[in-house]
Amino acid sequence: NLLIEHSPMGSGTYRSVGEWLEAIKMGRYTEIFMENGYSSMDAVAQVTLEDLRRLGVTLVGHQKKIMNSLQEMKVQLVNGMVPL
Amino acid sequence: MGSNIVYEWLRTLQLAQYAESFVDNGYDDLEVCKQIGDPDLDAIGVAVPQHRRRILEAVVRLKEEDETVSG
Repeated sequence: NLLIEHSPMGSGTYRSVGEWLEAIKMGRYTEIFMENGYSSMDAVAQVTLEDLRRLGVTLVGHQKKIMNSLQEMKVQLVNGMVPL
Repeated sequence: MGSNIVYEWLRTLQLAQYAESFVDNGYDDLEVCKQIGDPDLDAIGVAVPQHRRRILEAVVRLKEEDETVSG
């Protein structure tokens, strides 16, 4: 999809929060994210570790996975890089 | 993936079959593995009681090593 590829947002790589979470194998949290207002990739990009804890993401491995993925998206955003 | 530190750690415990699931769940270095408890093992899918015990004992050893080094 050309529109997505050329999106200025690094987080535009994923079309939805659900797609992103599935991609990093954290799909079990999709409903929790949606229900708590993190229903777009732009909203998700602002998530902090505190937010994750509040959402009930208590497993440190899962916290790490989600935060790492967000960090990667931000790096892509800063570099203006579009992943191939 | 073969050279991952968690894979090596699990291999010494003869539980390398869980390595992929550990990494998939974000337990991809020993710092994060030190914080493993029962809920983490549930998520990773380690169901065999003997395997769970072996991992939890190894987690305790990881923490002890840490204390020895850092004082």
